[in-house]
Amino acid sequence: MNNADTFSSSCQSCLYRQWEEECVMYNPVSGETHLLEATAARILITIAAAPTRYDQLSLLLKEQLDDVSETAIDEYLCTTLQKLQDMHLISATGE
Amino acid sequence: MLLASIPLRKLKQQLAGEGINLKIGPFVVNLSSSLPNIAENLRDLYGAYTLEDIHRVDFHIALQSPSIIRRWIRPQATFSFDGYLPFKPLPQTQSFAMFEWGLNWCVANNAHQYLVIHSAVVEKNGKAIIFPGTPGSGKSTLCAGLVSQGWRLLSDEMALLSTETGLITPIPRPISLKNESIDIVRSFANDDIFVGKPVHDTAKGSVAHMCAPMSSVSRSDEPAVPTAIIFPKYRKEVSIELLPLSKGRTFLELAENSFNYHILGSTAFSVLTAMLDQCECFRLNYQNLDDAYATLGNLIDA
Repeated sequence: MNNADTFSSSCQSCLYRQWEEECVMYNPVSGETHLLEATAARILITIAAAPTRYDQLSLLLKEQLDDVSETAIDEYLCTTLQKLQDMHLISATGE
Repeated sequence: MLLASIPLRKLKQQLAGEGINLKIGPFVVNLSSSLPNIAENLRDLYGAYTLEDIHRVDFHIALQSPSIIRRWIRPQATFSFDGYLPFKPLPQTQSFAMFEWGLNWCVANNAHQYLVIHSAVVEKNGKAIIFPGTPGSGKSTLCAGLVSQGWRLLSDEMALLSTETGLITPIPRPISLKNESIDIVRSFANDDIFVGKPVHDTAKGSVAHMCAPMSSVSRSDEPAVPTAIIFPKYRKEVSIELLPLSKGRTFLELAENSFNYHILGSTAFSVLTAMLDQCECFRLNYQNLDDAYATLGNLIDA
């Protein structure tokens, strides 16, 4: 993924509930319910609030996870964004 | 008036005529039938239930023969709900079991004031435990075992989770026991527990119904607070295990076990998350009722 890739989501009206490191999410548009990691849910909520570039998401995670290497964070972010796309919760557009 | 107080001959007359209005949990069921043995089965298994004179009826159910020929040659029974026949006819020996299965269908497809979860529910000391389970998981066996030892029966088949209050509404009915669980429960239960004669060769094998205790039926109007969700699994040659389960995973499995989650949508999500906020969640592997009874008793008393 490129730093300029921008992600958007139509999950503005989704419902969330987090217990420890798991989060369940209900999408009233699709009627589907998903079980997400808490961090993945935070990424989704950020994107749903406003379209967000990859580098902004990466920076956000690095600020929150200062004890994790940048490489590991980028690997995690790529995997998570791909999963969210596969679940049709977000979509990517290059700038 | 209790159903048991009506003489059998009069009960048969009423069933063959306008039917009886039977209060089962929060529902009033109008049941009519001229099939043999329905009145006897009702007397044995629904004797402690009240008959209502009121005109509010939730479900009009009729058990009848599909045709005159089928009254005599390989007799069959049909189940109709408001005049609609949702199922194919079954052998007449299965007519009472068909009533039970059909009533499950009526509630699951129409009672959307509740989130209806496929599960047994029992209660002790004001704490309700929900046992969701797929067929064969051993939930009815476990439910019957606990109820036979004094736990309150709220339901053997479905948890009615009120979307308004978040409480479980009782719908105590006969517990459906299948195959080897019939003898397991008979040998475990106290002598005052009635288990009817098995009906063989049904789609689920041999089926017998255990009568709901009168103490549970008489408390049908008392909702209960859900405090634990436990997914039971009967396994031979396994030591008893009560394993913690995450709330997120439990949520997904409850949604999958619900009959109307997809219909209630965001309402179902909200009521289910609120319930899980106040519940502990486990998987229970058990191979005998003695161990399960002791383990769950300790959990409730803790």
